[in-house]
Amino acid sequence: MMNGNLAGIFHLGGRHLARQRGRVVLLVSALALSLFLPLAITVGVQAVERHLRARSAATPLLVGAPGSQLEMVFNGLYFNKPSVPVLPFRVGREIARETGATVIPIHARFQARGFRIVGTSLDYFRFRGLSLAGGTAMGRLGDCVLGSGVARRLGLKAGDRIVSSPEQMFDIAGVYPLRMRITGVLAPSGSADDQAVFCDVKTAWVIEGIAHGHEEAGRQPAAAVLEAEGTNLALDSSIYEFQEVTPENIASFHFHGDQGDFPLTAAIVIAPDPKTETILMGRYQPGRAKAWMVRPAAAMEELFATVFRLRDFVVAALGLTGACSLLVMGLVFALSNRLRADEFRYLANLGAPSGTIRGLVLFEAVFVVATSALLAAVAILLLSVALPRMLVYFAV
Amino acid sequence: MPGAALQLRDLVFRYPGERFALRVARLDVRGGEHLAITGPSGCGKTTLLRLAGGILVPECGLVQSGETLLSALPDAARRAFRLRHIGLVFQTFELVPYLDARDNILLPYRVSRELPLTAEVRTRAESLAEQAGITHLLERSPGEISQGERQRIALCRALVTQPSLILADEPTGSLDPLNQQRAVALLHDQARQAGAALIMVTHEPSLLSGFDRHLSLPELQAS
Repeated sequence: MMNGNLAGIFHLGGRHLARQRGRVVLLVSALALSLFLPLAITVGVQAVERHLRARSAATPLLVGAPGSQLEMVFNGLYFNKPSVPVLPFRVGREIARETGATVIPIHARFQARGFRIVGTSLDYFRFRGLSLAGGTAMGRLGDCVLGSGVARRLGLKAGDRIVSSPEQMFDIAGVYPLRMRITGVLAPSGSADDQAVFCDVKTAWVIEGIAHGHEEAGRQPAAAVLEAEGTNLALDSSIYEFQEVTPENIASFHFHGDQGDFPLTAAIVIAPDPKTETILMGRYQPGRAKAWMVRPAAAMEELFATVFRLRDFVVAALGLTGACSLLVMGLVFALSNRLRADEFRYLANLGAPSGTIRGLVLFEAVFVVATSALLAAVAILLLSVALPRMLVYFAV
Repeated sequence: MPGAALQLRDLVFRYPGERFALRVARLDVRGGEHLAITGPSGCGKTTLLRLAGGILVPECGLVQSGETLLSALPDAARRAFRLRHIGLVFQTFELVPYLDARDNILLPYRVSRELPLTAEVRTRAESLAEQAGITHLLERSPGEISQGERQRIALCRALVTQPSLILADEPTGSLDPLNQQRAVALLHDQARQAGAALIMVTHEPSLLSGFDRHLSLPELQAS
């Protein structure tokens, strides 16, 4: 292209591409996608890994009922997997009493308007470094604090109410809706906490139906009492059960049974020292004890190892597809140049330098490859900016 | 012949694998002269013009334009000389289909950095288009206009570089008789205004009247 006219090549090449824009758009789209997909998977996996690793690394120990360690971690850290086996509350109490560890209960089974209700204690906010953007922390039974994402997406603020979602429409004896008072909204944290509704674990137990409040049974007609066993009465449906905790009815809310048996889905354990941590890991060794203690970071490593193997396989497959796309593209260019043979002959007859003609041949290929690479790069850039937000938005 | 627009001497050319050979012992075209070359189809008229323009290279013999021995130049130099000094009007016009008429006329300036595209060149192209009566077509592509209009665009392209020699290969072949006369008249006018020598290949006897000289290629080969 030494004797070619670069400006002329751009002009003629541009005109040719403009005439062939449909074909060019197709080629650019195909190549950009071939470049984007493997990169997007790599970037995506890296972002998810960073996101998950950061939270798991910040959580020293997690105790839960025997089962899948990974599901336990997902429930305790990211509030997913609501159907994990439940852990009796007493286990956490015993750990705290015997070792002096701080035990933060997690009860993440129910939802309110599509967002996970996390029953916990105020220690959780301190542990995660969460602060309030507005309002106050929950102060009594039936109160809740919203994650920033929940508040934004539902348009709710302190003083509003949110109702827990019934889990089973036809199970009238089971989970029933509780209208919770929103006392505050958390500041954004860029984590799963933004997408959760936090309440005291006792409030979660009310939603579960273990605790409840109702009209005073003693004032009801005897016909309303179906069965009596000590202080426990089985009442029929004529007794009004409160669906919201208010200053007027809070005294009527009570628990049935031993609180030590009440369910948690997991509990975060913060041992006072490394020695206690090691003792706890030995005492609640997964596979042997009635409750399992796991290091979330270690459990996540197993997941990452699987994800990376899968990622490598997918990226290799997409790489192969991309190579095929390039070959097809090469064929398209070759056919295109064959169709342009007359045009190149005209230019040669006119006296166009061979460099100009070679430049015109190259222009289309370079344009398509460069534009595709640019588009893929911009898309990857946008993805890497958007991914952390998306991970939080989708409550990963 | 000093100052001749074109001189051919002892020219022999044969396409690879063909027995027929074009032989021209001597042909001189003076500067500004208008020469018509006739002959039956297949006698080598187009080949002669391509040799004269340096598109083809003879087996032996000389092709000289002005002081430049064209047949001795390498391909790149022949292309550069052709672009700068020779205006070509091809039988099929050889317009680039995706360019509009203006860009087709300015094509010699788009393909080589040896010919800078200046405002003066653009004005000249506009002026040529106006003289050829195609100003209204400048934004249109060859596919949108008639054969006669394409021929005029090809003519403007041949003249825009102000060549000293114009080679026209049956440029009226696809036109009706009235447009043939108009096209050749335009060719004569423009070539005379530019002071360029004109060599036109044709097999249409009615078009010979405006030429200074007429040669039959078979006779030229025999001489």
